[in-house]
Amino acid sequence: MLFARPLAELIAELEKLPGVGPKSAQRLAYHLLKTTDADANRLADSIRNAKLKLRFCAKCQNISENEICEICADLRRDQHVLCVVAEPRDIAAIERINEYRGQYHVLHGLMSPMDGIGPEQLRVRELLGRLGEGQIEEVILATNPTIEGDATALYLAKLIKPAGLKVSRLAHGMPVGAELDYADSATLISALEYRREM
Amino acid sequence: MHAFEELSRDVEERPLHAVGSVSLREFRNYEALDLELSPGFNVVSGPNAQGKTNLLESLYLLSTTRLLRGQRDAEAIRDGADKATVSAKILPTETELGMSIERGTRKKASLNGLGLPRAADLIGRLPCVCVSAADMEIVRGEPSERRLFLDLELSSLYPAYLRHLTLYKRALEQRNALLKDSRERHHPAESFEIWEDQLANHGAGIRLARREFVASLGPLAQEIHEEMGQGEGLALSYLEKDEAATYEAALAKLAESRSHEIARGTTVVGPHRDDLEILVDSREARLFGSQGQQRTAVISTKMATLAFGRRHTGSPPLLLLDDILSDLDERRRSLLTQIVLSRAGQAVLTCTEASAAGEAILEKAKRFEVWAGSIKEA
Repeated sequence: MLFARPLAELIAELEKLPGVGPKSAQRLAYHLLKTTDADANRLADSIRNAKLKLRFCAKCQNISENEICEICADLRRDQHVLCVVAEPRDIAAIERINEYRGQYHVLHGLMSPMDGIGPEQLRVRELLGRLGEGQIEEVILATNPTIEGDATALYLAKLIKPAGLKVSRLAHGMPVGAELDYADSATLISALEYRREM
Repeated sequence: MHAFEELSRDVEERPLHAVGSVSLREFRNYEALDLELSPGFNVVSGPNAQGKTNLLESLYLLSTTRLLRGQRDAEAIRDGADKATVSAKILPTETELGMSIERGTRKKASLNGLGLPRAADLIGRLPCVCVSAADMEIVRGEPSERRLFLDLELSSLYPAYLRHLTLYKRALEQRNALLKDSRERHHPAESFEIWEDQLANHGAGIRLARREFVASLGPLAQEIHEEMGQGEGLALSYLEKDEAATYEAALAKLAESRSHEIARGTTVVGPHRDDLEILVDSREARLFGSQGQQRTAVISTKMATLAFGRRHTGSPPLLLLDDILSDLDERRRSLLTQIVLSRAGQAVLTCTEASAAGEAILEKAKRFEVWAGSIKEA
Protein backbone atom coordinates (compact mmCIF):
# COMPACT_ATOMS: atom_id res chain seq x y z
CA MET A 1 0.00 0.00 0.00
CA LEU A 2 1.27 3.40 -0.99
CA PHE A 3 -0.18 5.37 1.97
CA ALA A 4 -1.19 4.28 5.45
CA ARG A 5 -4.98 3.92 5.44
CA PRO A 6 -5.87 7.10 7.46
CA LEU A 7 -3.57 9.14 5.22
CA ALA A 8 -5.07 7.64 2.08
CA GLU A 9 -8.55 8.53 3.38
CA LEU A 10 -7.51 12.11 4.10
CA ILE A 11 -6.05 12.48 0.61
CA ALA A 12 -9.19 10.99 -0.92
CA GLU A 13 -11.37 13.50 0.96
CA LEU A 14 -9.20 16.48 0.02
CA GLU A 15 -9.24 15.43 -3.60
CA LYS A 16 -12.99 15.90 -3.69
CA LEU A 17 -12.55 19.65 -3.11
CA PRO A 18 -12.89 21.92 -6.14
CA GLY A 19 -9.57 22.87 -7.73
CA VAL A 20 -7.64 20.21 -5.81
CA GLY A 21 -5.94 17.51 -7.87
CA PRO A 22 -4.13 14.39 -6.63
CA LYS A 23 -0.81 16.20 -6.18
CA SER A 24 -2.26 19.14 -4.22
CA ALA A 25 -4.30 16.73 -2.12
CA GLN A 26 -1.14 14.88 -1.12
CA ARG A 27 0.69 18.12 -0.34
CA LEU A 28 -2.20 19.36 1.79
CA ALA A 29 -2.47 16.04 3.62
CA TYR A 30 1.24 15.99 4.51
CA HIS A 31 0.98 19.61 5.60
CA LEU A 32 -1.96 18.81 7.88
CA LEU A 33 -0.06 15.93 9.45
CA LYS A 34 2.74 18.31 10.36
CA THR A 35 0.47 20.91 12.02
CA THR A 36 -0.08 20.91 15.77
CA ASP A 37 -3.03 19.01 17.22
CA ALA A 38 -4.62 22.31 18.20
CA ASP A 39 -4.45 23.68 14.65
CA ALA A 40 -5.77 20.47 13.14
CA ASN A 41 -8.64 20.39 15.64
CA ARG A 42 -9.49 24.01 14.92
CA LEU A 43 -9.79 23.22 11.21
CA ALA A 44 -11.93 20.16 11.90
CA ASP A 45 -14.12 22.14 14.32
CA SER A 46 -14.58 25.03 11.95
CA ILE A 47 -15.75 22.69 9.20
CA ARG A 48 -18.13 20.98 11.61
CA ASN A 49 -19.35 24.32 12.97
CA ALA A 50 -19.92 25.80 9.56
CA LYS A 51 -21.99 22.78 8.55
CA LEU A 52 -23.89 22.81 11.83
CA LYS A 53 -24.57 26.48 12.36
CA LEU A 54 -25.01 27.84 8.87
CA ARG A 55 -28.27 27.74 6.99
CA PHE A 56 -30.01 29.67 4.28
CA CYS A 57 -31.54 33.02 5.18
CA ALA A 58 -35.33 32.63 5.17
CA LYS A 59 -35.66 35.78 3.07
CA CYS A 60 -32.78 36.07 0.58
CA GLN A 61 -31.48 32.44 0.67
CA ASN A 62 -27.94 33.67 1.29
CA ILE A 63 -25.79 31.66 3.68
CA SER A 64 -26.53 32.90 7.18
CA GLU A 65 -25.90 32.14 10.81
CA ASN A 66 -29.37 33.28 11.83
CA GLU A 67 -32.90 32.71 10.55
CA ILE A 68 -32.58 36.10 8.82
CA CYS A 69 -29.15 37.18 7.52
CA GLU A 70 -27.42 40.42 8.48
CA ILE A 71 -28.21 42.14 5.21
CA CYS A 72 -31.91 41.31 5.35
CA ALA A 73 -32.04 42.29 9.02
CA ASP A 74 -30.51 45.71 8.33
CA LEU A 75 -33.53 47.99 8.13
CA ARG A 76 -31.43 50.97 7.02
CA ARG A 77 -31.01 49.30 3.64
CA ASP A 78 -33.32 50.17 0.74
CA GLN A 79 -36.38 47.93 1.01
CA HIS A 80 -37.63 48.65 -2.52
CA VAL A 81 -34.78 47.38 -4.71
CA LEU A 82 -33.83 43.72 -5.02
CA CYS A 83 -30.79 42.29 -6.76
CA VAL A 84 -31.01 38.67 -7.98
CA VAL A 85 -27.73 36.71 -8.11
CA ALA A 86 -26.83 33.11 -8.94
CA GLU A 87 -24.51 32.31 -6.02
CA PRO A 88 -23.80 33.57 -2.48
CA ARG A 89 -20.30 34.60 -3.58
CA ASP A 90 -21.88 37.10 -5.99
CA ILE A 91 -23.33 38.98 -3.00
CA ALA A 92 -19.86 39.23 -1.49
CA ALA A 93 -18.58 40.70 -4.77
CA ILE A 94 -21.29 43.36 -4.93
CA GLU A 95 -21.05 44.18 -1.22
CA ARG A 96 -17.30 44.80 -1.57
CA ILE A 97 -17.87 47.86 -3.77
CA ASN A 98 -20.02 49.51 -1.08
CA GLU A 99 -22.36 51.11 -3.61
CA TYR A 100 -25.46 48.99 -3.55
CA ARG A 101 -27.71 49.36 -0.52
CA GLY A 102 -30.73 47.28 -1.49
CA GLN A 103 -31.88 43.70 -0.93
CA TYR A 104 -30.59 40.47 -2.46
CA HIS A 105 -31.95 37.14 -3.57
CA VAL A 106 -29.76 34.08 -4.27
CA LEU A 107 -30.98 31.55 -6.85
CA HIS A 108 -28.31 28.94 -6.05
CA GLY A 109 -27.57 28.18 -9.67
CA LEU A 110 -28.71 28.97 -13.19
CA MET A 111 -31.17 27.27 -15.52
CA SER A 112 -29.44 24.48 -17.43
CA PRO A 113 -31.52 21.62 -18.82
CA MET A 114 -28.26 19.83 -19.73
CA ASP A 115 -27.55 19.53 -16.01
CA GLY A 116 -31.15 18.89 -15.09
CA ILE A 117 -31.59 22.35 -13.56
CA GLY A 118 -34.93 24.06 -14.09
CA PRO A 119 -36.85 26.66 -12.05
CA GLU A 120 -37.83 24.01 -9.45
CA GLN A 121 -34.16 23.37 -8.65
CA LEU A 122 -33.57 27.11 -8.10
CA ARG A 123 -34.98 29.40 -5.42
CA VAL A 124 -37.49 30.92 -7.82
CA ARG A 125 -40.63 30.17 -5.82
CA GLU A 126 -39.09 31.94 -2.81
CA LEU A 127 -38.28 34.95 -5.01
CA LEU A 128 -41.84 35.20 -6.34
CA GLY A 129 -43.12 34.91 -2.78
CA ARG A 130 -41.03 37.90 -1.71
CA LEU A 131 -42.10 39.97 -4.70
CA GLY A 132 -45.72 39.11 -3.91
CA GLU A 133 -45.39 40.87 -0.55
CA GLY A 134 -45.50 44.15 -2.46
CA GLN A 135 -42.57 46.11 -1.00
CA ILE A 136 -40.14 45.61 -3.90
CA GLU A 137 -40.45 48.05 -6.79
CA GLU A 138 -37.34 47.30 -8.83
CA VAL A 139 -35.56 44.03 -9.59
CA ILE A 140 -31.96 43.98 -10.85
CA LEU A 141 -31.03 40.73 -12.57
CA ALA A 142 -27.31 40.26 -11.91
CA THR A 143 -26.71 36.82 -13.41
CA ASN A 144 -23.51 36.26 -15.41
CA PRO A 145 -23.49 37.26 -19.10
CA THR A 146 -23.41 33.64 -20.29
CA ILE A 147 -26.02 31.69 -22.26
CA GLU A 148 -27.35 30.24 -19.00
CA GLY A 149 -27.17 33.57 -17.17
CA ASP A 150 -29.05 35.31 -19.99
CA ALA A 151 -31.65 32.53 -20.20
CA THR A 152 -32.28 32.64 -16.46
CA ALA A 153 -32.57 36.43 -16.51
CA LEU A 154 -35.02 36.24 -19.41
CA TYR A 155 -37.06 33.60 -17.59
CA LEU A 156 -37.32 35.74 -14.47
CA ALA A 157 -38.13 38.86 -16.48
CA LYS A 158 -41.00 36.99 -18.17
CA LEU A 159 -42.40 36.08 -14.75
CA ILE A 160 -41.81 39.38 -13.00
CA LYS A 161 -42.56 42.04 -15.60
CA PRO A 162 -46.29 41.32 -15.92
CA ALA A 163 -46.59 42.24 -12.22
CA GLY A 164 -45.62 45.81 -13.18
CA LEU A 165 -42.21 45.82 -11.49
CA LYS A 166 -39.23 47.61 -12.96
CA VAL A 167 -36.77 44.98 -14.19
CA SER A 168 -33.18 45.67 -15.26
CA ARG A 169 -30.11 43.62 -16.17
CA LEU A 170 -26.47 44.41 -15.35
CA ALA A 171 -24.65 46.05 -18.28
CA HIS A 172 -21.79 44.21 -19.92
CA GLY A 173 -18.92 45.72 -21.87
CA MET A 174 -15.29 46.76 -21.67
CA PRO A 175 -13.53 46.23 -18.35
CA VAL A 176 -12.39 49.57 -16.94
CA GLY A 177 -8.74 50.29 -17.65
CA ALA A 178 -8.51 47.65 -20.37
CA GLU A 179 -6.75 48.10 -23.70
CA LEU A 180 -8.86 47.63 -26.80
CA ASP A 181 -6.25 45.66 -28.71
CA TYR A 182 -5.99 43.01 -26.03
CA ALA A 183 -9.66 42.77 -25.10
CA ASP A 184 -11.27 39.44 -25.90
CA SER A 185 -13.50 39.80 -28.91
CA ALA A 186 -16.69 38.63 -27.18
CA THR A 187 -16.35 41.47 -24.66
CA LEU A 188 -15.59 43.97 -27.39
CA ILE A 189 -18.60 42.87 -29.42
CA SER A 190 -20.99 43.24 -26.53
CA ALA A 191 -19.40 46.55 -25.56
CA LEU A 192 -20.14 47.80 -29.08
CA GLU A 193 -23.63 46.36 -29.08
CA TYR A 194 -24.47 48.02 -25.76
CA ARG A 195 -22.61 51.28 -26.46
CA ARG A 196 -24.23 54.41 -25.08
CA GLU A 197 -24.72 57.84 -26.46
CA MET A 198 -22.56 60.65 -25.12
CA MET B 1 -26.95 45.17 -34.59
CA HIS B 2 -25.00 42.88 -36.88
CA ALA B 3 -21.53 43.55 -38.16
CA PHE B 4 -22.17 41.82 -41.48
CA GLU B 5 -24.10 44.56 -43.25
CA GLU B 6 -21.02 45.73 -45.08
CA LEU B 7 -20.06 42.25 -46.09
CA SER B 8 -19.89 42.93 -49.80
CA ARG B 9 -18.36 46.38 -49.59
CA ASP B 10 -14.97 46.85 -51.21
CA VAL B 11 -12.23 48.13 -48.97
CA GLU B 12 -9.32 50.26 -50.13
CA GLU B 13 -6.18 48.32 -50.97
CA ARG B 14 -3.68 48.31 -48.15
CA PRO B 15 -0.09 47.16 -48.07
CA LEU B 16 0.23 43.40 -48.15
CA HIS B 17 0.41 41.81 -44.75
CA ALA B 18 2.79 38.89 -44.96
CA VAL B 19 4.47 36.42 -42.67
CA GLY B 20 8.10 37.53 -42.44
CA SER B 21 9.37 34.67 -40.35
CA VAL B 22 8.01 31.64 -38.57
CA SER B 23 9.46 29.72 -35.61
CA LEU B 24 8.43 26.25 -34.48
CA ARG B 25 9.45 24.48 -31.27
CA GLU B 26 8.53 20.85 -30.70
CA PHE B 27 5.74 21.20 -33.23
CA ARG B 28 4.87 17.95 -35.09
CA ASN B 29 8.18 16.56 -36.39
CA TYR B 30 10.09 19.83 -35.95
CA GLU B 31 12.28 20.08 -32.89
CA ALA B 32 13.31 23.64 -33.69
CA LEU B 33 12.78 25.54 -36.90
CA ASP B 34 13.30 29.21 -37.75
CA LEU B 35 12.42 30.21 -41.26
CA GLU B 36 12.42 33.48 -43.18
CA LEU B 37 9.61 33.45 -45.72
CA SER B 38 9.30 35.47 -48.89
CA PRO B 39 6.42 37.95 -48.84
CA GLY B 40 5.58 36.54 -52.28
CA PHE B 41 5.68 32.88 -53.26
CA ASN B 42 7.26 30.09 -51.25
CA VAL B 43 7.59 26.61 -52.69
CA VAL B 44 8.27 23.83 -50.21
CA SER B 45 9.21 20.50 -51.75
CA GLY B 46 10.38 17.11 -50.53
CA PRO B 47 9.28 13.48 -50.28
CA ASN B 48 6.12 12.56 -48.41
CA ALA B 49 6.00 12.41 -44.60
CA GLN B 50 9.02 14.72 -44.11
CA GLY B 51 7.10 17.72 -42.74
CA LYS B 52 5.86 19.84 -45.66
CA THR B 53 2.28 19.88 -44.50
CA ASN B 54 3.34 20.40 -40.88
CA LEU B 55 4.93 23.72 -41.82
CA LEU B 56 1.74 24.74 -43.60
CA GLU B 57 -0.27 23.62 -40.61
CA SER B 58 1.69 25.83 -38.22
CA LEU B 59 0.61 28.88 -40.22
CA TYR B 60 -2.94 27.55 -40.42
CA LEU B 61 -2.91 27.17 -36.63
CA LEU B 62 -1.91 30.81 -36.10
CA SER B 63 -4.62 31.90 -38.49
CA THR B 64 -7.52 29.74 -37.30
CA THR B 65 -6.36 28.31 -33.90
CA ARG B 66 -7.16 24.89 -35.41
CA LEU B 67 -5.12 22.03 -36.74
CA LEU B 68 -5.73 20.71 -40.23
CA ARG B 69 -8.11 17.74 -40.48
CA GLY B 70 -9.71 18.82 -37.18
CA GLN B 71 -7.23 16.91 -35.03
CA ARG B 72 -6.95 17.42 -31.32
CA ASP B 73 -4.42 20.00 -30.20
CA ALA B 74 -2.14 17.65 -28.26
CA GLU B 75 -1.45 15.68 -31.43
CA ALA B 76 0.67 18.58 -32.66
CA ILE B 77 3.18 18.18 -29.82
CA ARG B 78 6.33 16.38 -30.93
CA ASP B 79 6.74 12.87 -29.50
CA GLY B 80 8.49 13.02 -26.16
CA ALA B 81 7.95 16.77 -25.68
CA ASP B 82 5.43 18.47 -23.36
CA LYS B 83 4.82 21.72 -25.16
CA ALA B 84 4.71 22.87 -28.76
CA THR B 85 5.01 26.52 -29.73
CA VAL B 86 4.52 28.34 -33.01
CA SER B 87 5.16 31.99 -33.60
CA ALA B 88 5.29 34.25 -36.63
CA LYS B 89 6.27 37.82 -37.29
CA ILE B 90 3.85 39.71 -39.52
CA LEU B 91 5.26 42.38 -41.81
CA PRO B 92 5.21 45.35 -42.17
CA THR B 93 3.75 45.89 -38.68
CA GLU B 94 6.24 43.51 -36.99
CA THR B 95 3.35 42.10 -34.98
CA GLU B 96 4.24 38.77 -33.43
CA LEU B 97 1.57 36.11 -33.20
CA GLY B 98 2.14 33.10 -30.98
CA MET B 99 0.40 29.91 -29.98
CA SER B 100 1.48 27.33 -27.47
CA ILE B 101 -0.01 23.89 -26.94
CA GLU B 102 0.72 22.07 -23.73
CA ARG B 103 -0.55 18.68 -22.62
CA GLY B 104 -3.32 18.84 -20.08
CA THR B 105 -4.15 22.54 -20.48
CA ARG B 106 -5.83 24.73 -23.05
CA LYS B 107 -3.75 26.15 -25.85
CA LYS B 108 -2.67 29.73 -25.30
CA ALA B 109 -2.38 32.53 -27.84
CA SER B 110 -0.19 35.58 -27.56
CA LEU B 111 0.17 38.89 -29.32
CA ASN B 112 3.61 40.50 -29.20
CA GLY B 113 4.48 38.18 -26.35
CA LEU B 114 1.47 39.15 -24.26
CA GLY B 115 -1.06 36.43 -23.52
CA LEU B 116 -4.54 36.92 -25.00
CA PRO B 117 -7.60 36.11 -22.86
CA ARG B 118 -8.71 33.33 -25.22
CA ALA B 119 -7.03 31.44 -28.04
CA ALA B 120 -9.89 32.47 -30.32
CA ASP B 121 -8.86 36.11 -29.91
CA LEU B 122 -6.04 35.40 -32.32
CA ILE B 123 -8.51 34.79 -35.13
CA GLY B 124 -8.61 37.52 -37.76
CA ARG B 125 -5.03 38.68 -37.31
CA LEU B 126 -3.57 36.46 -40.02
CA PRO B 127 -6.31 35.72 -42.55
CA CYS B 128 -5.50 32.66 -44.64
CA VAL B 129 -7.04 30.39 -47.23
CA CYS B 130 -5.86 26.79 -47.18
CA VAL B 131 -6.57 24.32 -49.98
CA SER B 132 -5.78 20.67 -49.41
CA ALA B 133 -7.00 17.28 -50.60
CA ALA B 134 -9.27 17.06 -47.54
CA ASP B 135 -11.28 19.97 -48.96
CA MET B 136 -12.79 17.60 -51.51
CA GLU B 137 -15.26 16.86 -48.72
CA ILE B 138 -16.75 20.30 -49.29
CA VAL B 139 -18.28 18.96 -52.48
CA ARG B 140 -18.48 15.26 -51.71
CA GLY B 141 -19.29 15.17 -48.02
CA GLU B 142 -22.31 15.69 -45.82
CA PRO B 143 -23.94 19.13 -45.40
CA SER B 144 -22.04 19.45 -42.11
CA GLU B 145 -18.77 19.67 -44.13
CA ARG B 146 -20.11 22.60 -46.11
CA ARG B 147 -21.42 24.36 -43.02
CA LEU B 148 -17.99 23.90 -41.46
CA PHE B 149 -16.43 25.51 -44.53
CA LEU B 150 -18.74 28.53 -44.23
CA ASP B 151 -18.25 28.72 -40.46
CA LEU B 152 -14.45 28.66 -40.67
CA GLU B 153 -14.30 31.28 -43.41
CA LEU B 154 -16.76 33.59 -41.68
CA SER B 155 -15.23 33.14 -38.22
CA SER B 156 -11.82 34.12 -39.52
CA LEU B 157 -13.28 37.30 -41.00
CA TYR B 158 -15.73 38.21 -38.24
CA PRO B 159 -15.22 37.53 -34.54
CA ALA B 160 -18.89 38.51 -34.15
CA TYR B 161 -19.83 35.52 -36.30
CA LEU B 162 -17.80 33.16 -34.15
CA ARG B 163 -19.57 34.52 -31.09
CA HIS B 164 -23.01 33.97 -32.66
CA LEU B 165 -21.96 30.45 -33.58
CA THR B 166 -20.60 29.51 -30.14
CA LEU B 167 -23.62 30.85 -28.31
CA TYR B 168 -26.01 29.28 -30.81
CA LYS B 169 -24.47 25.84 -30.29
CA ARG B 170 -24.68 26.16 -26.53
CA ALA B 171 -28.33 27.28 -26.60
CA LEU B 172 -29.04 24.41 -29.01
CA GLU B 173 -27.60 21.85 -26.59
CA GLN B 174 -29.74 23.30 -23.79
CA ARG B 175 -32.93 23.24 -25.83
CA ASN B 176 -32.23 19.70 -27.02
CA ALA B 177 -31.75 18.58 -23.41
CA LEU B 178 -35.09 20.18 -22.57
CA LEU B 179 -36.78 18.46 -25.55
CA LYS B 180 -35.50 15.08 -24.41
CA ASP B 181 -36.56 15.70 -20.83
CA SER B 182 -40.04 16.67 -22.04
CA ARG B 183 -40.78 13.01 -22.70
CA GLU B 184 -40.49 12.43 -18.96
CA ARG B 185 -42.18 15.52 -17.61
CA HIS B 186 -44.02 18.58 -18.82
CA HIS B 187 -42.13 21.86 -19.21
CA PRO B 188 -44.01 25.16 -19.55
CA ALA B 189 -43.62 27.32 -22.66
CA GLU B 190 -41.40 29.85 -20.83
CA SER B 191 -38.76 27.20 -20.22
CA PHE B 192 -38.48 26.73 -23.98
CA GLU B 193 -38.81 30.40 -24.87
CA ILE B 194 -35.69 31.47 -23.00
CA TRP B 195 -33.51 29.18 -25.15
CA GLU B 196 -35.48 29.81 -28.32
CA ASP B 197 -34.96 33.54 -27.90
CA GLN B 198 -31.20 33.03 -28.02
CA LEU B 199 -31.42 30.50 -30.84
CA ALA B 200 -33.50 32.91 -32.90
CA ASN B 201 -31.21 35.83 -32.16
CA HIS B 202 -27.89 34.11 -32.88
CA GLY B 203 -29.43 31.96 -35.61
CA ALA B 204 -30.58 35.07 -37.48
CA GLY B 205 -27.04 36.47 -37.19
CA ILE B 206 -25.56 33.25 -38.55
CA ARG B 207 -27.98 33.05 -41.48
CA LEU B 208 -27.58 36.69 -42.42
CA ALA B 209 -23.81 36.33 -42.57
CA ARG B 210 -23.85 33.03 -44.46
CA ARG B 211 -26.43 34.30 -46.96
CA GLU B 212 -24.46 37.46 -47.71
CA PHE B 213 -21.17 35.59 -47.83
CA VAL B 214 -22.44 32.99 -50.30
CA ALA B 215 -24.06 35.73 -52.42
CA SER B 216 -20.70 37.51 -52.75
CA LEU B 217 -18.68 34.33 -53.09
CA GLY B 218 -20.82 32.85 -55.89
CA PRO B 219 -19.83 35.25 -58.70
CA LEU B 220 -16.17 35.17 -57.65
CA ALA B 221 -16.17 31.37 -57.73
CA GLN B 222 -17.90 31.36 -61.10
CA GLU B 223 -15.28 33.69 -62.56
CA ILE B 224 -12.42 31.50 -61.34
CA HIS B 225 -14.18 28.37 -62.49
CA GLU B 226 -14.36 29.83 -65.99
CA GLU B 227 -10.68 30.70 -65.87
CA MET B 228 -10.00 27.09 -64.94
CA GLY B 229 -11.15 26.43 -68.49
CA GLN B 230 -14.20 24.44 -67.66
CA GLY B 231 -16.68 26.49 -69.62
CA GLU B 232 -19.23 25.14 -67.21
CA GLY B 233 -21.28 27.29 -64.95
CA LEU B 234 -20.51 26.97 -61.25
CA ALA B 235 -23.23 28.29 -58.99
CA LEU B 236 -23.27 28.54 -55.20
CA SER B 237 -26.36 29.11 -53.16
CA TYR B 238 -27.17 29.00 -49.48
CA LEU B 239 -30.06 26.65 -48.73
CA GLU B 240 -32.17 27.47 -45.70
CA LYS B 241 -34.04 24.34 -44.77
CA ASP B 242 -36.85 26.27 -43.15
CA GLU B 243 -38.22 29.65 -44.09
CA ALA B 244 -37.37 31.68 -41.05
CA ALA B 245 -35.07 34.42 -42.21
CA THR B 246 -35.56 36.87 -39.36
CA TYR B 247 -35.47 36.75 -35.57
CA GLU B 248 -39.26 36.99 -35.31
CA ALA B 249 -39.86 34.31 -37.94
CA ALA B 250 -37.35 31.96 -36.30
CA LEU B 251 -38.99 32.50 -32.91
CA ALA B 252 -42.39 31.56 -34.35
CA LYS B 253 -40.95 28.57 -36.21
CA LEU B 254 -39.27 27.20 -33.07
CA ALA B 255 -42.46 27.55 -31.02
CA GLU B 256 -44.48 25.84 -33.74
CA SER B 257 -42.06 22.91 -34.10
CA ARG B 258 -41.83 22.20 -30.38
CA SER B 259 -44.35 19.37 -30.19
CA HIS B 260 -42.94 17.25 -33.02
CA GLU B 261 -39.39 18.06 -31.95
CA ILE B 262 -40.15 16.60 -28.51
CA ALA B 263 -40.94 13.31 -30.28
CA ARG B 264 -37.61 13.45 -32.10
CA GLY B 265 -35.69 14.72 -29.09
CA THR B 266 -33.78 17.27 -31.12
CA THR B 267 -34.15 20.70 -32.71
CA VAL B 268 -34.78 20.39 -36.45
CA VAL B 269 -35.25 24.02 -37.45
CA GLY B 270 -32.42 26.53 -37.67
CA PRO B 271 -29.12 27.20 -39.43
CA HIS B 272 -27.53 24.02 -38.03
CA ARG B 273 -29.52 22.12 -40.68
CA ASP B 274 -28.77 24.39 -43.64
CA ASP B 275 -26.59 23.56 -46.61
CA LEU B 276 -24.43 25.19 -49.24
CA GLU B 277 -25.54 24.04 -52.66
CA ILE B 278 -22.80 23.67 -55.26
CA LEU B 279 -24.10 23.32 -58.80
CA VAL B 280 -22.04 22.63 -61.89
CA ASP B 281 -24.05 23.18 -65.07
CA SER B 282 -27.20 23.35 -62.96
CA ARG B 283 -26.59 19.90 -61.53
CA GLU B 284 -25.56 19.09 -57.99
CA ALA B 285 -21.79 18.51 -58.09
CA ARG B 286 -21.97 16.19 -55.09
CA LEU B 287 -24.17 13.68 -56.94
CA PHE B 288 -23.44 14.19 -60.62
CA GLY B 289 -19.94 15.61 -60.88
CA SER B 290 -16.96 13.61 -62.07
CA GLN B 291 -13.94 13.58 -59.78
CA GLY B 292 -12.25 16.19 -61.98
CA GLN B 293 -15.31 18.42 -61.96
CA GLN B 294 -15.62 18.11 -58.21
CA ARG B 295 -11.98 19.01 -57.74
CA THR B 296 -12.27 22.06 -59.96
CA ALA B 297 -15.42 23.14 -58.14
CA VAL B 298 -13.64 22.95 -54.78
CA ILE B 299 -10.56 24.79 -56.00
CA SER B 300 -12.71 27.52 -57.56
CA THR B 301 -14.75 27.91 -54.38
CA LYS B 302 -11.67 28.04 -52.19
CA MET B 303 -9.81 30.44 -54.47
CA ALA B 304 -12.94 32.63 -54.45
CA THR B 305 -12.55 33.02 -50.69
CA LEU B 306 -9.10 34.41 -51.41
CA ALA B 307 -10.59 37.02 -53.73
CA PHE B 308 -13.32 37.68 -51.18
CA GLY B 309 -10.79 38.18 -48.40
CA ARG B 310 -8.87 40.61 -50.55
CA ARG B 311 -11.97 42.66 -51.31
CA HIS B 312 -12.92 42.59 -47.69
CA THR B 313 -9.68 43.47 -45.94
CA GLY B 314 -7.89 45.27 -48.76
CA SER B 315 -5.09 42.73 -48.91
CA PRO B 316 -5.20 39.09 -50.07
CA PRO B 317 -5.12 36.49 -47.31
CA LEU B 318 -2.15 34.16 -47.03
CA LEU B 319 -2.65 31.29 -49.49
CA LEU B 320 -1.67 27.79 -48.41
CA LEU B 321 -1.78 25.18 -51.19
CA ASP B 322 -1.13 21.72 -49.82
CA ASP B 323 -0.07 19.37 -52.58
CA ILE B 324 -2.82 20.57 -54.88
CA LEU B 325 -0.87 21.21 -58.07
CA SER B 326 0.58 17.71 -58.40
CA ASP B 327 -2.91 16.17 -58.50
CA LEU B 328 -4.01 18.22 -61.50
CA ASP B 329 -3.47 17.43 -65.17
CA GLU B 330 -1.02 19.62 -67.09
CA ARG B 331 -3.65 22.00 -68.47
CA ARG B 332 -5.54 22.64 -65.24
CA ARG B 333 -2.29 22.97 -63.36
CA SER B 334 -1.07 25.77 -65.59
CA LEU B 335 -4.49 27.48 -65.44
CA LEU B 336 -4.49 27.31 -61.63
CA THR B 337 -0.94 28.67 -61.63
CA GLN B 338 -2.20 31.68 -63.59
CA ILE B 339 -5.02 32.19 -61.10
CA VAL B 340 -2.60 31.98 -58.18
CA LEU B 341 -0.23 34.44 -59.86
CA SER B 342 -2.98 36.93 -60.56
CA ARG B 343 -4.78 36.76 -57.24
CA ALA B 344 -2.51 35.70 -54.41
CA GLY B 345 -0.33 37.94 -52.31
CA GLN B 346 1.81 35.73 -50.15
CA ALA B 347 1.57 32.00 -50.80
CA VAL B 348 3.12 28.83 -49.44
CA LEU B 349 2.87 25.86 -51.81
CA THR B 350 3.90 22.32 -51.02
CA CYS B 351 4.64 19.64 -53.60
CA THR B 352 6.72 16.47 -53.81
CA GLU B 353 8.64 17.80 -56.82
CA ALA B 354 9.27 21.54 -56.97
CA SER B 355 8.68 21.40 -60.73
CA ALA B 356 4.95 20.82 -60.08
CA ALA B 357 4.70 24.50 -59.10
CA GLY B 358 5.47 25.44 -62.70
CA GLU B 359 8.13 27.74 -64.17
CA ALA B 360 6.09 30.91 -63.79
CA ILE B 361 5.79 30.52 -60.03
CA LEU B 362 9.26 29.05 -59.46
CA GLU B 363 10.86 32.08 -61.14
CA LYS B 364 9.40 34.32 -58.47
CA ALA B 365 9.48 31.94 -55.54
CA LYS B 366 11.75 31.35 -52.61
CA ARG B 367 12.39 27.60 -52.58
CA PHE B 368 12.73 25.27 -49.65
CA GLU B 369 13.53 21.60 -49.38
CA VAL B 370 12.23 19.51 -46.51
CA TRP B 371 13.95 16.44 -45.18
CA ALA B 372 13.14 14.68 -41.89
CA GLY B 373 12.00 17.70 -39.92
CA SER B 374 14.55 20.17 -41.18
CA ILE B 375 14.18 22.71 -43.95
CA LYS B 376 16.88 24.15 -46.18
CA GLU B 377 16.65 26.96 -48.63
CA ALA B 378 17.16 25.47 -52.08
